[in-house]
Amino acid sequence: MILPKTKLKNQLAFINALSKVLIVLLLVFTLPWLVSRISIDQTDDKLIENLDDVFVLIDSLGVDAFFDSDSDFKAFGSYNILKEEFISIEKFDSDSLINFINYSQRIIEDELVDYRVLSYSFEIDKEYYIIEIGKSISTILHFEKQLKRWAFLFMIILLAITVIVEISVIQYMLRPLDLIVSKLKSTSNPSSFSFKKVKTNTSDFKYLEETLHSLMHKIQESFNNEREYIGNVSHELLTPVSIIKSKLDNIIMEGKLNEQDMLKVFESKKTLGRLTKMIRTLLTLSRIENEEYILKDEIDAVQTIKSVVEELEDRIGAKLLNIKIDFKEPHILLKGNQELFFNMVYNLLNNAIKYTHKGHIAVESKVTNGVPEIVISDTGEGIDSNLLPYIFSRFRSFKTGKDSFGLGLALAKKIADYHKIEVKVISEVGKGSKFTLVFPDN
Amino acid sequence: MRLLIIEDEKGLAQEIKHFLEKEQYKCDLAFTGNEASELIGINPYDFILLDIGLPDRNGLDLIKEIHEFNAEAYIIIITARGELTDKVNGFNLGADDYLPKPFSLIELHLRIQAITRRKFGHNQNAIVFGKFTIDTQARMLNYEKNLIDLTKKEYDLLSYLVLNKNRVLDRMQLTEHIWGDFYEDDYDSNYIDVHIKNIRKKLQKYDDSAWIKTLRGIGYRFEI
Repeated sequence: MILPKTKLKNQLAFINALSKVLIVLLLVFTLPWLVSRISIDQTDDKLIENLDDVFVLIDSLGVDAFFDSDSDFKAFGSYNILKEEFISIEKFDSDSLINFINYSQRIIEDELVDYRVLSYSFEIDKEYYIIEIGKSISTILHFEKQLKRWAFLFMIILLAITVIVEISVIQYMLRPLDLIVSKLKSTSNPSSFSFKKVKTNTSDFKYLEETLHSLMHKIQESFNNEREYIGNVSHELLTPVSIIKSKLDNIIMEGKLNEQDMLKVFESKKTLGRLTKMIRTLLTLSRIENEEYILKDEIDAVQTIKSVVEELEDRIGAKLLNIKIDFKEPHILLKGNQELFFNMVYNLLNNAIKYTHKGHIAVESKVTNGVPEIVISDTGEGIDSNLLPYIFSRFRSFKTGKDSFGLGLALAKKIADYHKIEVKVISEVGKGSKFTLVFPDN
Repeated sequence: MRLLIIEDEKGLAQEIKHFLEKEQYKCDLAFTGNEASELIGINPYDFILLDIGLPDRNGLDLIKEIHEFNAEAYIIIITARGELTDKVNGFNLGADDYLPKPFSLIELHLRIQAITRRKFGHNQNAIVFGKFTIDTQARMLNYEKNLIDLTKKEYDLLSYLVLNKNRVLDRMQLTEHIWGDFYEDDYDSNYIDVHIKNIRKKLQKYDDSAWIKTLRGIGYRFEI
């Protein structure tokens, strides 16, 4: 959600780290200020206390006791050796009453010192005096500076430790989820799903896994039903076809019919043949969809094409077409199902022959940018660009031509997909078509 | 030759029987697994045609029974495709041959003949017409001592016609025989005619007889 396409545990770790960084930043900037604020408040309290002490003295001794009686200049000042504190009392020229605490810098013995200074004026016998009591805050300022530096370092370390600890805790807690996900990832087919339970005490994960398992069981069941169904359908459809075919075989072979009737019977056989081919192709399509074919044969695509060309050479010859063969890449190896692969190449090449009436068929093997390719091109009728997107659809018939594309190309595409082979088609009406098989790069 | 046809579809079983009896085979029928089981136990058969998609019995069990009680019999499995998967094909079930439905009766006969030839040894491997000899083992055609160069498809076509001599073979049967599973349903195209033309040319070099008769639009017949 926050990070697109990221694992939950990484998202959690990220959010966790982010919130910690925010807290640390907040602390690093506010903590020193807070600490110094408190220290200043304490200093101020102390100053007020000291003022009270001074007034106790003034009340008992009188204000004049502070001044040198010999001098006209009525002023008193005192500071301790370390210049941490000072006090001064002097006559005040103004008659206003002041009472405040502020920051102030004073020069004492040629040294500039930062002070927190309480200034207070009062009146005795019509005379105005001002008391200033100062406390050095350089320690406070120093402390604040140090705190800023060390707090930052400390927080970074703390941050690192907690983030590491929490990430490992998250990792540990989400491990069952990881296992469930990898179990799903390794399942290309419901039938290969592993029902081994993942160890977890987290009820959510348990529920998730149990639900997955029960769903998988259901899928496997319907998968098996489907397979059985296909078997049954094929039996139910092909058996009647078989009966008719045998009967027609017997009629023709007995040879009792005249030629005209014989032709009619033969026509029926041909129709039956089309039906048979269709049922078989549909069955093959369904079986591929059910992944019933095992991809375990070591196939040499170029070798297979050679044998398909051999198989179809007479058809090419019968149509007076040329075949151009250019195997720049002598071997293209892949793992797959030999029977299906042969079927695919056969369908593509046969299709090219079917729709080409003059010129040539060209078969080429090559490697483009490290990716092996096989190109089957022809100088045939070509396919209208409007129809191009539909040539791999089943039973899509077009009013433009005499034929629909039928099932041959649909089957070829399905087989290609099953082998993770990409099929590219370029075609131009009247000029020909070009089918390119792009093999998976391994 | 005695045959047992195990097929639950009566119409099909009877049609197969009708055809094979004309070919001088003695045929028994079993429409259920149990009937078949009984017959297997009693009679010795040379061939057993078995539809493994029987409603009452598992076809694989029947194969075991056949091996036990009728060890001499050759088994040809007939089945609708899709019932067998890649993992289990007809041959590793212990059958001698496998025919997917719908099959041509001639194809069935050819398979039986092929197995018979294998069974009775090499003498049967030669088929003779005129002074020509077809060696089915080496897949070669000779005229006296001269080897005639035929392509694979021409050989298949000629031997198929010769084996079914004096019988009309329609274009569909011929197409399905030479292209097997990959036959195209454009039976009207002239691929077969081109092959026949070439075969005739090659035969005529040695012998002028019109061996192969054309039935327009339907197919060919080898006459001897």
